[in-house]
Amino acid sequence: MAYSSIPKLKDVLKYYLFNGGCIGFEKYDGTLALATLDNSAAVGTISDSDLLLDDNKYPRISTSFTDIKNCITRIDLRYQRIVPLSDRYAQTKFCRRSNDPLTDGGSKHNFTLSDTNGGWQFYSELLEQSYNRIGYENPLTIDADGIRDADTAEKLARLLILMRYKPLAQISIDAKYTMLAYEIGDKVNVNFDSISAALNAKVYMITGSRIVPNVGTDEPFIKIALTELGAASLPESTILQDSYGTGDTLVDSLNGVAGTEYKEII
Amino acid sequence: MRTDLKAGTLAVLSGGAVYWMVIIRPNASDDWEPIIMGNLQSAATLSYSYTWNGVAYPAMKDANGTSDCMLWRNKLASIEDIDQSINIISDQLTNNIATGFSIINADDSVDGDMFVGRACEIRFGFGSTMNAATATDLIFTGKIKSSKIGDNKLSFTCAGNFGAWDVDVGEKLTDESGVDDNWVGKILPIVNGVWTDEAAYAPGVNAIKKQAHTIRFGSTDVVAGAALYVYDKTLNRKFAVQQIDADGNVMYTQANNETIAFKDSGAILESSMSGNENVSSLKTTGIYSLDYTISNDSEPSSPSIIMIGSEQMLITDVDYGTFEVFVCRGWNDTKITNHGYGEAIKIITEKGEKSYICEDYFYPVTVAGSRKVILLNTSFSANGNFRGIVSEGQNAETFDISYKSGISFLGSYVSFGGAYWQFDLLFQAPGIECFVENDPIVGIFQKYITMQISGVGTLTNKTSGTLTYFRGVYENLPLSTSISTLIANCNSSQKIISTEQTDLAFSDSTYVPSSSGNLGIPAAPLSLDLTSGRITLADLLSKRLSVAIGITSLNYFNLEQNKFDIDINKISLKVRFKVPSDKVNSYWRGTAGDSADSQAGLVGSIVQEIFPYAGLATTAITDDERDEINTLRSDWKLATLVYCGE
Repeated sequence: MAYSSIPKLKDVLKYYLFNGGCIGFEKYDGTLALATLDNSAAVGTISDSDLLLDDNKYPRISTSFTDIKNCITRIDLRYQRIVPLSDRYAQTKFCRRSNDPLTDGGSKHNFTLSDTNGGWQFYSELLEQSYNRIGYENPLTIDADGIRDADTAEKLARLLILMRYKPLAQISIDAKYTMLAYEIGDKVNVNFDSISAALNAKVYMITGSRIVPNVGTDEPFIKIALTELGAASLPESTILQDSYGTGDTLVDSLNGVAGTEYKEII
Repeated sequence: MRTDLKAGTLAVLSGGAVYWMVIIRPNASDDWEPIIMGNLQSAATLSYSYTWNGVAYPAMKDANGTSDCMLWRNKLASIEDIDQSINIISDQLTNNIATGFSIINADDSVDGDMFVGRACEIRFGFGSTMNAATATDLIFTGKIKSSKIGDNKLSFTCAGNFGAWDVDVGEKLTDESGVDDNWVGKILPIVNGVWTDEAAYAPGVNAIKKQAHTIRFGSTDVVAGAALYVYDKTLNRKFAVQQIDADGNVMYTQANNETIAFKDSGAILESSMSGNENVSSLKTTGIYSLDYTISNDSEPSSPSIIMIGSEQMLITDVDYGTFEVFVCRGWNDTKITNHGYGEAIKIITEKGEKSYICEDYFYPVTVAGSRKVILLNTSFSANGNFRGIVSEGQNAETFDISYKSGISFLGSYVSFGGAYWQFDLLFQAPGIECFVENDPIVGIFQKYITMQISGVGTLTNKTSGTLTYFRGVYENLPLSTSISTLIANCNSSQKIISTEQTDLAFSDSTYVPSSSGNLGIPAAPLSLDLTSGRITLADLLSKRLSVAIGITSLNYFNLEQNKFDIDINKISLKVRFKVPSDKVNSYWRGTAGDSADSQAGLVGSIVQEIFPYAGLATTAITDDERDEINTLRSDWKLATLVYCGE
């Protein structure tokens, strides 16, 4: 094998992480970490008292939503990749919006699981809501190279629907330097008077952190970007991938999980 | 959430002074040579607290940059925003951390090249001071990517360690402390949680996560989490042991669940991959080793090496059928006994042999010159001229024998089977007479014969154990050839001084060697009052007295090095005279006359027999050992001449 053909870790990881409903990132001290994209285990609450104020009265806060173009109306999640053939997958999990006039083999889905949200109908309805929101079909095809079994594939498909059926709320704040304790990847609750109760009820992930040192001039502060995770909530926010289609099974649970915000991915 | 920042503390101190410190550290392989810069404040370390913004950098190349630190107090001009972001919608790894800082360099005293490529930390302090050495205020860790000369400033850009993702699959990362070398290249280093916490593996990679076993023998932990390897020299294979059962007797290798039984008998090694190899006997062959003789149940045999941890214990083949056994720290007393004393010698690691562990923990048992049965029949003599003034009372003349037994224990564990010495003493004098002026008085009676026997032990460290000894002075004690015959002879012989048998229990808390290093045998001499008339001078001159001292057992155990010697350092025969009061100031002398000194002395022989340990087979004395014995003999100090002059 030529040296240049050895895959890079990041090229492999991005599949596995994404297939596991995780995100990988670099921590402030250079170590690498993983976090799941569910809304569990918020590590704290950011509230009005943590915000900087303009003119001593206006909190530095703004809200927005992720691009509506990210909303999807159908999902095709291909798994059991056939190696060494490229772009070939033995299986596909799919789900169409509830009012989609088209079917695949006479069905709008091949979901089989049932969670606390219900069966496939719940997720199909979310896709229908997405269609009504954007007004056009926007299918998403995912090649899940790291998934071999049907249940894992369906769980990932459900997660993606929850993340993509509507735009996600985003909040940007300027916070006192006491909030330096937070870093990207942290999941937090918020309690701001200046935003709606609905947004306050969400769980957010810190997706941006900008520390402004103000060396020698003023107190430092931190700009924090929060992205909603509330819509990306799986009813069972535990292990996404619980078995291998190859027949291999997990032999041990991982130890040494450094914090509740990290989830097992295998 | 950052673990280095305490939100509660920050909240309390909000509004207080804040300080920034940029710390630049050298790289391990850095070839940068220090440049002495002017206008700097220096400090020995970074552990000081500072109440100002600054830059710290090593003045000397150092592994961790904590020594010889130079501090820049007023040159930190600014720190750029420290920016991090991730995109949870994308399946790409988009996270990046970047920042930078600038220093005042109006006098161009700083060469920007010297900092590029170095590890960089930006720390944040609050309250009254900041402590740059602690991790309570770490904000950013990365490397300096570039430098740029600006208007009276020098600016540096920094990046995090995001490049860790950009490695080939299977490459071990430098901070993968939890991944054993054995996995490098075989395991996809995906980590659950913080990267450095655990090794894991990706779906579809059929590998077993590295286990953290506790290796135990009996109820004693040998080492927690150590790797255990089994080597098959014939196949040139190394097996990593994956599992050890509860009592540590059975280990499984990763290859195909092969079983290696490591029995508590210690001297037995069984391996299904190389047949059963039973240690049938063992023997001492040198100061620093024990050899095991292996009998093989099946052919071909491939002697194995077992290594526990990197420095704990191993069994390795020195030659076909011969094993060296090293038992190291962590084995309890019983196990060491079972496994043959705990003679730790050398360690074989994957990188080769090394002899370091024994120096730290276990020293081999050394019975210098006496590892085998030594039966010595030698003679000694002590002759002296004497005459003296006899006063009323207890003039005493002493004949001393200083004798070095040559027993030296060096080790953490000693189980000594026993030893005895028999000294046969024959007091010789051509004639003794006492006279007052020219009035010879023959037969002025001696009163005492005193013998002093002491053992000298040097206990260099904490120890505990038991020493059992006996001693006595006997009349016409037959020459004994074993400790059992000695005891029998003692029982049947006339006791001049009663036999003692004493058990001395000592421990590091209760036994303190005396200042003279006496092992426990009383320094005060045993004495025999001869006023009963049982022995007269004539008797003394005609009878053979024997001194017997025996050590029936000696055990001590301590993880630390111990060394002590047992020396019978002095045997004294004191002949005391008592004269009538009217004969005070008379003279006594030998028969040769009043002007010539008389000759008197002791002759005798010594039998020394030492049993290293009852469980060890003995062999014939080798030439080397013979030389050693001869050397020992040359060190003997025979009876000291006694002169009693006017």
